[in-house]
Amino acid sequence: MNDRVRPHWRTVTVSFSLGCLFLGFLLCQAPAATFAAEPAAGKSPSLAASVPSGAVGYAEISHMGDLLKRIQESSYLQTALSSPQFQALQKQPQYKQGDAVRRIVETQLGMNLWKLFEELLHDRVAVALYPKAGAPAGGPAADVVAIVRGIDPKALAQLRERIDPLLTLAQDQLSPADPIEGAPANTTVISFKGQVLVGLGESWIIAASTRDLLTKAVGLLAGKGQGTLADDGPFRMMTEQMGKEHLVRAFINTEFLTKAKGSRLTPEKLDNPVLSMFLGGVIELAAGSPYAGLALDVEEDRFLLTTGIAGDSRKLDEAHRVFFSDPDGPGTAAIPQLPSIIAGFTFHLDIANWYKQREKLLEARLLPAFDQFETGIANLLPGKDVGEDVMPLIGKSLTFVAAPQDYSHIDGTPGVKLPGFAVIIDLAKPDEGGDLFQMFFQTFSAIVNLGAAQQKNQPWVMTSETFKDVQIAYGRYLKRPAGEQLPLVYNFMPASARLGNKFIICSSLGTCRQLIESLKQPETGGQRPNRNLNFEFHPGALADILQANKEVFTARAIQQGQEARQAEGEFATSLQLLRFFDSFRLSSRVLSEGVQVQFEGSWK
Amino acid sequence: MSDSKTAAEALRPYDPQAHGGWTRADATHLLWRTQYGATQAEIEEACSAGLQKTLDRRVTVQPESAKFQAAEQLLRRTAFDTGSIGDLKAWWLYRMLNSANPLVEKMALMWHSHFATSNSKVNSVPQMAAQNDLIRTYATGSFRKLLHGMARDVAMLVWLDGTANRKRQPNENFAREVMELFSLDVGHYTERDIKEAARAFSGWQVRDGKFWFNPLQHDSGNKTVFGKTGDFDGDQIVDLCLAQEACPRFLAYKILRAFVVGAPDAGLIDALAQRIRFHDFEMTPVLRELFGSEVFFSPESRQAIIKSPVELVLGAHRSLESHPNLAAAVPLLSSLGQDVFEPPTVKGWDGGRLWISSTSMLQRANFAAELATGSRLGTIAEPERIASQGAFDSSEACVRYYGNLLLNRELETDVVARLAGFMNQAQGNRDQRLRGVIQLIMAMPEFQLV
Repeated sequence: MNDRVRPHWRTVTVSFSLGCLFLGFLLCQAPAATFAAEPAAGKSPSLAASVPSGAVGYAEISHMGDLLKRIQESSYLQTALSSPQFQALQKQPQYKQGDAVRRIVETQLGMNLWKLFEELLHDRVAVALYPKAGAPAGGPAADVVAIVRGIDPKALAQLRERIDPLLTLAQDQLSPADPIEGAPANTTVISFKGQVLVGLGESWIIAASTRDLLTKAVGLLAGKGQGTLADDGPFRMMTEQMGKEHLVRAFINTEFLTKAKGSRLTPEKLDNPVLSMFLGGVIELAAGSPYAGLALDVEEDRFLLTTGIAGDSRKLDEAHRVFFSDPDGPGTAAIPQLPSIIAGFTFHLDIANWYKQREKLLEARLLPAFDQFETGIANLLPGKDVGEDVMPLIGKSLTFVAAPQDYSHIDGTPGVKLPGFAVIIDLAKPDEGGDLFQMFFQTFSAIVNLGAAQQKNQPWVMTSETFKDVQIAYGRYLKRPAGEQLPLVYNFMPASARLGNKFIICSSLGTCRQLIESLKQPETGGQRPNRNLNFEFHPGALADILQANKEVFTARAIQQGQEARQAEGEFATSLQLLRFFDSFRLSSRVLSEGVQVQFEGSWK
Repeated sequence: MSDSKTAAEALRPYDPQAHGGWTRADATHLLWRTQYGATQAEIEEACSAGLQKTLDRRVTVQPESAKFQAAEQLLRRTAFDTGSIGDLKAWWLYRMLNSANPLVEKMALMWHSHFATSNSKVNSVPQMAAQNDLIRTYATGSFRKLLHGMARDVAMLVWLDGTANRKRQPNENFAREVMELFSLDVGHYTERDIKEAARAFSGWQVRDGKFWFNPLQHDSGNKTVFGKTGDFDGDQIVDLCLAQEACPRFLAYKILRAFVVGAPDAGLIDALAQRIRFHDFEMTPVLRELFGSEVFFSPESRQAIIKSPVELVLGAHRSLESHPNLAAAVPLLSSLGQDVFEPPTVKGWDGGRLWISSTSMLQRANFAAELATGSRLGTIAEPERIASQGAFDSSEACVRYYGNLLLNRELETDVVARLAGFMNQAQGNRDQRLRGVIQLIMAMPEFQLV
């Protein structure tokens, strides 16, 4: 490795990727104009062709101006700005100071900031990071070039005219720099403290931390010069796999960073078993991927944020293959579509082999906890080994759902209304696995019953019913609770059932019945795209549950010193904002050439 | 208490005119003892209204506002819905701070300590709430009815194992506490009285969450208690306790400690006990006489009681016109040693000097700092706005204002000078410097007294 080229890879990676992700999520929160997946006729080419090759990180925003206009006019923004929460924020000293700065800037520029950014972001904006050769300790971590292209020449001229007096005031820090050879006529170059060079053309602005980068970028933007980021191998791979036309896209050259570091970027073993179960495979695949990419697309009523890495999961070692489903198959089980479902989460994991491979996947300090777990389970299953006899009974999908419940198990409703919850366990060996989990369910119910008397709650009596040819075991209350403000515990009446190769555990009988009905329906809609992990969330359904518990939230606000009316107003606004959204989904897809994690949402 | 005053003289009605007129200090003293803290507006109103009107307003039950009732009911329903004792505590603190009848709430807290019952054993929000309702119903009313009600209260029966009291195995716990803690105090009964009384309370059980008299478990034979023999049941035992001379003396001692002076003398106790007996344990006329008496307004009674944690916290919130965070106040009060609905023992909170220790003084100082300068515990009325409205033209004027408001006394000249000097030299804007002054005043030893 060249000792002279030693970027602060961790700083670059973390700050750049966090910045891109934050930008992506920030931009997700608005309705927008329609954008086609492929560039329409007349759309300008990507700035990746105008940025010198060798970039370690890159981010590009395309045609944001129209989006900003839509954001400004959106009903969602108006609702947020007229909300009690925003009005409270406006009273904060920090907000007042920020707003004062905004007004000063707008007065000086002669336009409001929305208009300014509409103009600046009309075409494309890009930022690229480069490793800094021979960086002194404590100095800047990387070299940067930033390009804003496609600004309306009149607007840019007006901007320059407005900024000139401020530049005059700062003339001890700003100075004209030597012209760039080969640059278009009327190109001005300004040096800021000798550290940043800014080139101003008729319809573009380029800022760079070195003259060399500025010269190359100016040349490439004018169609001269060779060696662009678009030609670099990892960037080309990302473009092929993730597409090139997006509202926002970002790129990290992990191949370069790995070489610069001299070792893998991601840990070999994880220190969190839950993180391992959900993301262990992606983290391992990322270690060998030449790039990490991000893309954001926004349409009229939805957005899609995609992050991607390259690599064939089928070529990983045995320990890490446990995380991935077959790319040609549907992956994890579908989330049952219960009426008004609030959220569902399902993921694929060969848990039996994950458990067997835990020494290769997890840090050593976590392993004693597994030994304790095995000892505990052994109390219930004498003579059995968890790894050999219990885990292999479990299949490769685990599903959680939350949905409103109907309280048919009581005469009335609890004061605090919780959703019904359920876990669906795929069974590799349905009969044995079903018996095992039924035993766990009975044991759990017995333990809870012991505590019920101490809490002055009704104990459960275990009983069963047959529903649509499925045997449901459940605990009913010794005396059927009645009343309209029953204690919180009466949200729960646990139920379990086995349906084919699925074992269901639910917090209420009603939820169990709903699940059985849903699972008995055949899947519609043809073959699903592969999903390795899938989390769905429906804000409207959550808003309904919160509305049903409005009194509790209002009471909490009063406890914290708010007036009742203010609390009710803030609560109503929060629900209104929630109901604006239709659904969200976070999922991962296993492809033959890589893995993508997608976050998508839709609104009304 | 001055030796030269007789107890009868001490309870003579206070005549402000004979003492230089009805002063701001008098009004503040009366307000502080009959509610938690007082705002500047309340003090000014009491000043102009005079003793009798202010006293009438305090001891007469006032109608609650619609806004209070709506919020209070919402908080109570939430406590029942969640089953959280923390929510019930927040409900009661809300009542203490916002009720139109703060004296009722103060008396209710006194009775809560007197009839100490802890949720740690009862473990039921509805039962603790029911007991609290019972206490509130008779807080400034009939102690006779209160004691009878408490003997049958479900939470009390659970707390003192009354439910385990069987004919063939009488449980003495409840009978002992009725005599020792609720009516007579130590030394005014014999062990035989307790054993016999336990037999009278046998069969008093809880069934399906309600009081239930189980005749099969009741010992209906003759019992001899306080030298009297008869087929007594629990209610009659309560009447026998109330008839003892020690009972009104015991109550008088408690009331005087809570509202007049930390260590009342025997003469004063006797005098008040006579009034309690005269009014047949009706508290309203007793309190009216007491709060309008010479002894109440005597110099020895001013700033003579160490503030309980509830008095300290709620009083500060009220005086500083704060929007309190009651959810944060609950654990704060617990750490200061007064966790409502969870008294530490059957004796409740002893109070007095026991509120003060090196640890609690540090915690009290931290509370003062956090309330004056932070927002976690609540937001006080902006000192800068108050100073502007009051047209305080100097740091000394600001210091005197808050000194009067929080300490009910004129600060010494050198103290004013030092606090004003701090305000002039401290960093920050005027509001921040004023908050610093408030914090310093609340950290003074005098602030721990009411």
